[in-house]
Amino acid sequence: MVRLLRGRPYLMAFALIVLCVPLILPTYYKYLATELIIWGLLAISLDLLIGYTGLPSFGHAVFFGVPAYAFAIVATRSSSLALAILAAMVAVIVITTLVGYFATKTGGVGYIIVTLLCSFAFFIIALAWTPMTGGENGLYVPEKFSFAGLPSDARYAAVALIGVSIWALAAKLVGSSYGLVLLGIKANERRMQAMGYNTERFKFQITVVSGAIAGIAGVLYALVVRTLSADLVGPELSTEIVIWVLLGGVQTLIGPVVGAALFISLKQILNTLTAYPIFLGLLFVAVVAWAPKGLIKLRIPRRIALWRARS
Amino acid sequence: MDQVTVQLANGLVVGSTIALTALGLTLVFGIMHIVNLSHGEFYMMGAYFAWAAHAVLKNFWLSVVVATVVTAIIGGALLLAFAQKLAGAGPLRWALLTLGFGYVLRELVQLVFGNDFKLVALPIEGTVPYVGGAYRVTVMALSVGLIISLAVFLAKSRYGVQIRAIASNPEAAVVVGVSRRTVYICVALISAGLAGAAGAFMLPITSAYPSMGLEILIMAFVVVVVGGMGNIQGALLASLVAGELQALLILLVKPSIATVIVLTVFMVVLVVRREGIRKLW
Repeated sequence: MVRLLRGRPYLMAFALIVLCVPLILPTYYKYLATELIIWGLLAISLDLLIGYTGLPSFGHAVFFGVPAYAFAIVATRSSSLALAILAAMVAVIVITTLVGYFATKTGGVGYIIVTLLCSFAFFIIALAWTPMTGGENGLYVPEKFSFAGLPSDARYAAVALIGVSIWALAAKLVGSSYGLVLLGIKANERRMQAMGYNTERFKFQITVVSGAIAGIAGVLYALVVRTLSADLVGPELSTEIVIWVLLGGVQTLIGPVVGAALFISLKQILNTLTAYPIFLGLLFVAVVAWAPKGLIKLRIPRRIALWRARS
Repeated sequence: MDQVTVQLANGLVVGSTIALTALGLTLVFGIMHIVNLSHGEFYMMGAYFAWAAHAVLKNFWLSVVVATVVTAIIGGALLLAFAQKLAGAGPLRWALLTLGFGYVLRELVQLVFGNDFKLVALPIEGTVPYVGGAYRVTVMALSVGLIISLAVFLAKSRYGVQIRAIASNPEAAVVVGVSRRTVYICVALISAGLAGAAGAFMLPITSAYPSMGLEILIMAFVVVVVGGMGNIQGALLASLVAGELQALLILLVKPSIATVIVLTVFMVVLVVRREGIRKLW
């Protein structure tokens, strides 16, 4: 990671800010920042699919929620942390293989629908399979298997360290020649096939990578927040993640993190209003229609740019 | 045995509702390339508008017509308003845009009508031996009638021919003088109107509630994808299978599990045959 950051002052500064600044904030904000990093990780993992490979997954919450559930289910039943983490890893492997396989067999619109349906199916299962998942009551991760015992600084530092290193690895991945192949698939899959790339294999691999990152985020969520509900695999969260990515800016890695932070803060503020989904819906419409490249690529309106140039 | 025949008939009713909704989806996708995730909300609007019209007019069948027309105008206008701006934008942006519509419509309906279930009395009482309620049979017949008239409209009428021309080759159709605008307006209105009619038909059976749109949308989308995106016959066949499968499974397991099983079966079909079931005939 250090080698990756060398010669990239902006990246280094950003990483430093993320790592250090919240440590001086009050406890509540520290907790909020911890959660935001987890959501940011989830957004990054989806950007790998949507932004860099052109796979518009509308069921990404499955990659997040299923490992979290697997972790919590084993953690409440056994006394071994290693076993719980192993269960989460198995869940990641199974779920990414399954969805990745489905995904490579369908393309374009079919992909959107199949992933959305996956999310819906797991949502129903999480609600209906009460003995395992707790049904509508959800699951509660026992305290000894969570970060609850840690001081909030240590908790934040651990999550932030994991978050920033994964982000750095993702940045390295998309900057490599492998990332170029992915971009090629996004631009023109047929041509990449004609050039001899096995595009299905690449699509499968990136689904696994993205799912693994989302799974790590999911386990972190279980460790930090400790309550799991069916919403964590549901279509509502799935589509919300897509909005985070689009709101911030696809194919930027950092944009989706900004988008997630903005969206969640906005939701917290609007939550007090009764009809807040209306505003969220209007935000969806506004972003898609007028800022399709995301907020961090929004061009400064011409008049302001001119005024700035003059002064 | 009686239970099975009733469920079979039930499956036909559910299947024909899914078919009406799915037809609108597949039309709007095949011609305007819109992935309309707010289509379920059009269905929901149909039910609510029928309820509101029924409160004023006191005549169920008249309120079905009113609900269909109002839903067609509102839904069609929503899609057309952004058709120009998002021309050629790809499925992802359309999906998100219509998802936003869905949020707004669902919330508006809750604000106006409240959260509770809105029910009207069955307009036709009585049962038909072996198949269940008379109203269900009527709805099934009406849905089939609507589907057939749509098929005739597409096959024979001037607009129908133009719609098919745009679907098969937009550039060539425009060159020989088909107005893309007219076709788009036609398709958007028909699509939203069909969903509205389906919602209105289901009002006495399921009652109207805010999340009804989501439930039908999932099924309608599965059916559209399995039928082969934009393919009408495929969508019809798949809706029939979906309706029957779900109705029969309900005899054995919980309704939510039945939905999961149907979804899984269809996903496996998709994996085995990527292009859906369209090439079976």
